[in-house]
Amino acid sequence: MTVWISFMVIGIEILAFYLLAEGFFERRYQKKWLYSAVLLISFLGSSLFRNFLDFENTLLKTVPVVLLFICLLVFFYKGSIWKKLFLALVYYVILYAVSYGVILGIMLVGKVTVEDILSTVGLWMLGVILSDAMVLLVCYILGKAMKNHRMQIRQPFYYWLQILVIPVGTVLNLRLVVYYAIQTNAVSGWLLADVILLVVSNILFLLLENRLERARELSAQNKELEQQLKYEESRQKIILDNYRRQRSLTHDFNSHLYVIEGLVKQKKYQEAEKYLNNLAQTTALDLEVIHTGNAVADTILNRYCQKAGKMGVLIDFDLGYGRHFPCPEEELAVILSNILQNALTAAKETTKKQIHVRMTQRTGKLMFSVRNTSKQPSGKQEKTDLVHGYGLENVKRLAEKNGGQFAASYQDGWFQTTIIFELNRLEQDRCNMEQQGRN
Amino acid sequence: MIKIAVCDDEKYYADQIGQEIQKHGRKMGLKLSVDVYYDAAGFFEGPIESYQILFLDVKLQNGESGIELGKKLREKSSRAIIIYVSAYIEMAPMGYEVEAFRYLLKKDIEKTLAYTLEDAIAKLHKQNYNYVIRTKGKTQTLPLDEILYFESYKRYVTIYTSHENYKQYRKISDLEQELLEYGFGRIYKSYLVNWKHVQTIENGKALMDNGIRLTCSRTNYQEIIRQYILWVGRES
Repeated sequence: MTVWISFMVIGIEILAFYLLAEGFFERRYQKKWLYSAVLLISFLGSSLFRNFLDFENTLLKTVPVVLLFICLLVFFYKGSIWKKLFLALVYYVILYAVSYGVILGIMLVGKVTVEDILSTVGLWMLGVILSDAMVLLVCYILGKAMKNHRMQIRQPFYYWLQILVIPVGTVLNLRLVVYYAIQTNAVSGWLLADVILLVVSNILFLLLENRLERARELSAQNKELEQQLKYEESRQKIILDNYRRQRSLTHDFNSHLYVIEGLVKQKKYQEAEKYLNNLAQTTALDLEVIHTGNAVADTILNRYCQKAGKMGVLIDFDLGYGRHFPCPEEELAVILSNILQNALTAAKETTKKQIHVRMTQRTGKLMFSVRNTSKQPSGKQEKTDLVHGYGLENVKRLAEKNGGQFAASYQDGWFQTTIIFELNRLEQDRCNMEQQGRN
Repeated sequence: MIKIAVCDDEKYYADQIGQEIQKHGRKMGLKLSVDVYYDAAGFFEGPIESYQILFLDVKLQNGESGIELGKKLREKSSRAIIIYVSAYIEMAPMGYEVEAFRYLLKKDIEKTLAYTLEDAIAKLHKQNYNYVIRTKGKTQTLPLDEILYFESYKRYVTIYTSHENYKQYRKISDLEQELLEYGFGRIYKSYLVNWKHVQTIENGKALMDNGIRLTCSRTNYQEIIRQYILWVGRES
């Protein structure tokens, strides 16, 4: 029985450690089975070291376990090794602090001594299960808080309340149960089974909560995919429309030349000038004037240039880079469209109505920045609210997903959104080759 | 008097830009001197070092490139503000070598010239701002562009430039207030850096142009990165 309890305890402690690790660090690989294997290796390694190493000192037995954890973290999670060492330290501090806290609690509640706890199998098992359940809960909460902090997600107060209410209620309930059992000397197998069931139900509750969160994330991703699909369809339509319009323009251009030639030959200069002015007015808004070499960027920039013109918004471009982006086309479309749509919507509500678009490359970094006139955001907004309040969550998420850095700010009537991507060696080499070709 | 040059092989646009500049100059109450050129050769015969703002066509006659013109100009005048004007915007990877201020479309020139000129003049004023170093019995000025960073130690501030260092008695917090709008940022309690000379910020340190790595505040690290990104998006 104690062997099974021991394995269960090791399993809970491993789970607690990785819940903490998932909060502090980002996974290096995307394959889920890999991380299930990591859990299994940790479990097997821990069981081996703890149960079969011939050290009397528990601390010495812990060292190979810690080393195993660190190695697995280094291989499977991103982040500095010092931070991983610090995590191991934090974990063991939590483990020992909570264990001692629970034992102290049992001693105070049951008015028993440490020797009583260690000598009574029931009490000992109770203490171990309770302390590991508490460690799991603390690591879960801390891991979640760190993950939210890392991803800059702010959860409201009631979110934490609903996560904690069942575990805290269980602990209070258990305190009463344990107190009663010790007072009536009724520590039995049934009591232990009851405690185990309560702990398991809490674990299941936390796992269910995780699934719900995952479902929420998937729902958000689905919405983003739907939006990307819409943009893709829209892009295809634009490309086709542009092709048709270009063909028509080419055909019309020849006709217009004949007309102008005829008017000039007849010395009807005023009519020719009027004809040319009319021509300039009608075609100016439809011409594609931006060429970066990237079809997606061209389509979107031209589209918003035309839209801006129709809305009376002044837009200028500085395009020192445009061909190769370190992200898939559909994500690039979402990034560019969201930022430009935001900029257009804000700028047209102001008197100045200006948008500045920059896309440049320097020292291995690609920078995309849009500055637009904007009204003062309502109320007192923190930096993260500029993201959430202006529909830039998707942009931020996609930028960071592709290794980019994102920042947004509002100052003195101007809203700015900037993304910086690191260009990998291949992309840098391609840029350099193109530059040399142009030279 | 602000000296401005326009170079465009299409006479109509060259004259139009020149006239628009004069018009807006009068509106803004500024004294502007505008010279208009219709080809690169004529432009280089003029006093190009004296021009503070230039409007250049991207594509000139005889296959000359406005970007190449800009590069040659930069060899003589690193601080001139170059604004490119074109019928279309094409990716110009060499444009960053020229450090062009803006690219304008010819079809929108009447609408965009006014605010572009205002912004260019504002930038000119910022560029001409010199930092004054007052030490015992001596006052000297230093262009802000030459300053890499300030380091503070016990009420004394050391000013690091690419060629020489200076020292003066001053509080770094006062410096921060004075130079914030000129592209300086506080990365640590004792460091105030010129963002222009920061190559990258990673692993808690800012790598400067001279190869020195300066420690960033851990508490405000995310905010420092954010400020740097915003500066890059705004000014670089």
